[in-house]
Amino acid sequence: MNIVNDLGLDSIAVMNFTMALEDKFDISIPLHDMASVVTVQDLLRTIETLRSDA
Amino acid sequence: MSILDKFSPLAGRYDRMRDSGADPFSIKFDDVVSSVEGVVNGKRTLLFGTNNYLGLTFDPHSVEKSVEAIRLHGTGTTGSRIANGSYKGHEELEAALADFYGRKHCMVFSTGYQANLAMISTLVGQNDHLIIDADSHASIYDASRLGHAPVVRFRHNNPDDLAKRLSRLKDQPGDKLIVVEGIYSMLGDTAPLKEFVDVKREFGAYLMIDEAHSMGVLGETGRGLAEREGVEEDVDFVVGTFSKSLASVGGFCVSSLPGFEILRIAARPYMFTASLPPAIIASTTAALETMRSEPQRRAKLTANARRFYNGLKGAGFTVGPEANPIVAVILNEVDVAVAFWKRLVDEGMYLNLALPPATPSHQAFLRSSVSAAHEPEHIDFAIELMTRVGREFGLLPENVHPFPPRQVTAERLSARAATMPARRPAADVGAGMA
Repeated sequence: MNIVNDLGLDSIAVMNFTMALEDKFDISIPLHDMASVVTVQDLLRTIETLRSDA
Repeated sequence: MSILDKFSPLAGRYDRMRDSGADPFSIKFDDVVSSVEGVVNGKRTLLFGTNNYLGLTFDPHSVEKSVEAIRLHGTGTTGSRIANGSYKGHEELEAALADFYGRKHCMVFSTGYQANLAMISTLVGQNDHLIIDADSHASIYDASRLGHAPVVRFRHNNPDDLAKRLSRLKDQPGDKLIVVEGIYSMLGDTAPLKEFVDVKREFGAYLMIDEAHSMGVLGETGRGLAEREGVEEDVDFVVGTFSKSLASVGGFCVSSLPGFEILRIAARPYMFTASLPPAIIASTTAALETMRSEPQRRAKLTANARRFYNGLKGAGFTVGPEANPIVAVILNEVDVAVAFWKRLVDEGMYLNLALPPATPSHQAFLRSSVSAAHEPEHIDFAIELMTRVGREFGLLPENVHPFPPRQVTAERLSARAATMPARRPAADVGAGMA
């Protein structure tokens, strides 16, 4: 699923979504890590990487 | 197929707006005749959509200095400070700004946008961290993309949220730079700076404040929010602009951090752009002198801002949280906002229409800015017009507050007495304040 096209999120909504994810998982997700996220699968991978680094 | 095809969704939205008869993005002034008056579509129009806070765009001191500078030093520098050299005027302006802020160093940039671009993208490198308010100005966002530091946003004006995000970074190496604004340009709200300073101290971060909309507006001497809140010592970098209170164009950063001057040969938006021409430098230096010597302008600006804000609030409009010179009326529907805006322009009041995504939370704002050059009559005209149109559009309950409220007259008298003592011949002051 494409996060922007299929869920109807604009760029600001994606950034706000990122803040919510940071709080949900208690991690820091720098904006440039989100730049390459297109699908939910990408997002999952990014969060898993950030959590294992933390 | 064309390289511009990707803009067709944007073009479609723009076309729909223009079909409704309003085009807020291409308003044209036939003439601008004073700090607060212009001509739009042949009609004399009151300007409530500038950032001309102190009303200095026609100030004789600035105008004369600017004309003199062109005659003496020419129309342009034709190059950058680094490649083509600095003029004496650049250095004098930097010294004057450093003196005004009580800081050791100052760099002047060709626009306020470039000041943010240069400072933010250069101060933090790839091993540092940049932490910005979610409602930051576009120049701060663009700076975060130009630089190499990881960027984290915190919820607007929320010190606890900032602390939470900094605590997640506390074991990571590198410096942390927090960026906030004095007055936010859409709603006119100020940052809770004392609380931000507490967080900054707790985590050992650096703090930058963009005083673009608060310079000349807030603080005893007009240095901005940091001065008003008494926390200037804890602010490491102050960024600002010349295109608002100082009535020209350009930007600056002041700091007392040792070693600051190295940024002149590290910050690309400083190095690779033409420096400000003599006329701009001269009028800016003159406007800074006027700003320092005529605090009554700030007093009048504050009185005007309160008059306008309270008038609109009293009429039943939803306004921003604070009475500052940026006064936003918040409307939920974009179509209504566009029609409202067009009607005001047609009736002789120019103001800004702020639409999502430039606004927080998908709302549309009718954004006005008040000037020290507005007379109480101008403010009352704007309140009355907006109230009339608001009622006509069904946005306001009838007569929430009878207009004009009775106390207006009394306030007008005292405001005039308090703010009009002339430090120059009346004709001089009046020229820019008509």
